[in-house]
Amino acid sequence: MPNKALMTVQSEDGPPTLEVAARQLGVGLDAVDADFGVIAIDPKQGLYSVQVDAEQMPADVAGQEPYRGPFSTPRIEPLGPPKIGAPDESEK
Amino acid sequence: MPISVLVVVPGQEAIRESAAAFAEGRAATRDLRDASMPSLLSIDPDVPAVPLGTGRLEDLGIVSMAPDQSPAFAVRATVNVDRVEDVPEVVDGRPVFADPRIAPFATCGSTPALGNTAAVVSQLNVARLTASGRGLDGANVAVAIMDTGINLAFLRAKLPAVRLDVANSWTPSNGATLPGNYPIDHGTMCAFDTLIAAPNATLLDFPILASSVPGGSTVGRTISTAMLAFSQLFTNWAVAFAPGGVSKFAGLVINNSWGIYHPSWDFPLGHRGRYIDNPRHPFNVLVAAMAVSGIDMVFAAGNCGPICADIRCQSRTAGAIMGANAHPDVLTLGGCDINDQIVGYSSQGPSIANMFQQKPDVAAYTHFLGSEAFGAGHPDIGTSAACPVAAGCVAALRTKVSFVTTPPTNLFAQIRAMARAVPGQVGWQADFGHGIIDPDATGMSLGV
Repeated sequence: MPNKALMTVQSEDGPPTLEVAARQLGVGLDAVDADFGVIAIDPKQGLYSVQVDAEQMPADVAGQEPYRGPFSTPRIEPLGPPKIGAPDESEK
Repeated sequence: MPISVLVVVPGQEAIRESAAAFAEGRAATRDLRDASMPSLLSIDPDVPAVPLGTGRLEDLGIVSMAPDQSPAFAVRATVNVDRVEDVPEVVDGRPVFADPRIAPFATCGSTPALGNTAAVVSQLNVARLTASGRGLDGANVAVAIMDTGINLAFLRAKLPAVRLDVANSWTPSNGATLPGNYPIDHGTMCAFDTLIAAPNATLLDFPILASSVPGGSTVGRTISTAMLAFSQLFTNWAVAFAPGGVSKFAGLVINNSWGIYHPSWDFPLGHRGRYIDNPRHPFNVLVAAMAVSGIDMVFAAGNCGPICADIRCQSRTAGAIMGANAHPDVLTLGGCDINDQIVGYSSQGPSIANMFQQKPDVAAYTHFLGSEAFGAGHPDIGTSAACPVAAGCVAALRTKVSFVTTPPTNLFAQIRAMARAVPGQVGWQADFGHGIIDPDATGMSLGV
């Protein structure tokens, strides 16, 4: 599933199903990443997260309140041996 | 303003006595202030005089430099001028020389290892922590290594008693590698360094940076992968309470020797979904919730220090501590060598705007000959190594300091308060934070 968008969903009764998450976000079930599943973010506040196919997101989702995404999922790297030398375009 | 200078003066009784006393390792019987000095100059009585012969290069080896025979001496003095440019070159026929500030050369990526594991053990007073009757050794405390995966065979060859809890480790959904069977790499270094201060801690293998995570290396090394792993730990620790699950441990520490090198890896500035400067990003919210549940999270500050930053920092060294590494509920580590000097690549505070500003919290040791996971003779390096050294200190303390009575925010506040200040330090500073981590003093202050 390329171009995934990280979104949040709300559920006061424990983790929502993928179907419930899809409905909240206004996308089809096939747009929700089943491998990623439903991630607990702050269960006491009823906050969970899913990943959605960015190309199937409704156009107005970013303007909704409260903001539910898309949130970035940037690359992370080990903070191990520092790389030295001239900057390389591949490192950007 | 007073400017320090060096000036060459002829031998006199007080000056000869100063040089002789210093050479013989005794206190001088005369005060240097008794010496006759050129006008405008005040001699520094605390710096011994140094014999120079005649003070001329052409006389070197001909004229004695013994304190009782040397014709001339160098002494330290101060001159009061409005600007450095106003310092005279000669006063009363005596040449005046600069006495500039000097500093040790920085430890950078190519610097050979400084000290070894034994030196770190000594600096952290591990023998006092683990002494009979005190027992701050990490027993019954789990440390999750969020990294490239652990090679248990390599660790066992160096640390035969190492413990790995395979059942409570994490295997990516399509991963074929079992916990403890990953290539010898960064994660194995972190595991080794964790056990320096907490030799009886139990390791959990969370290979979020390994190449076998879903989607392969380029997709796998993302915040969403870290979220999957963190959320599993969180659920097992604070929600599911399954028999034999991670909640059986008295404490749970997560080591995070990873981060983002440059904002260009994230959404653009101002985007509401950005990670690095957004406390409302789901991963940062997850970190806050996990801290409330009693999980101790330790993060490396990063390798974007101003003296010799990693090239992936793209020369950006201000506001370089970003994302969860700058979260108020985690302990953020800068790196210093075993001589208590900050390493040149250690990211300095303040953090990126909108995140907690006074990061790093403290510094811990790095750049020593430890695991040799990168090859024989190669140091454990980066703030990546400082982070697990500190995670081990936290695990050692958690042996007897309950997360119920002393939650992570309180424990980290105590670690900051009891950190060993570096010379001249008053309060938080950009490189060392509140000082060098001192688990022995922290434990004593907490009554363990």
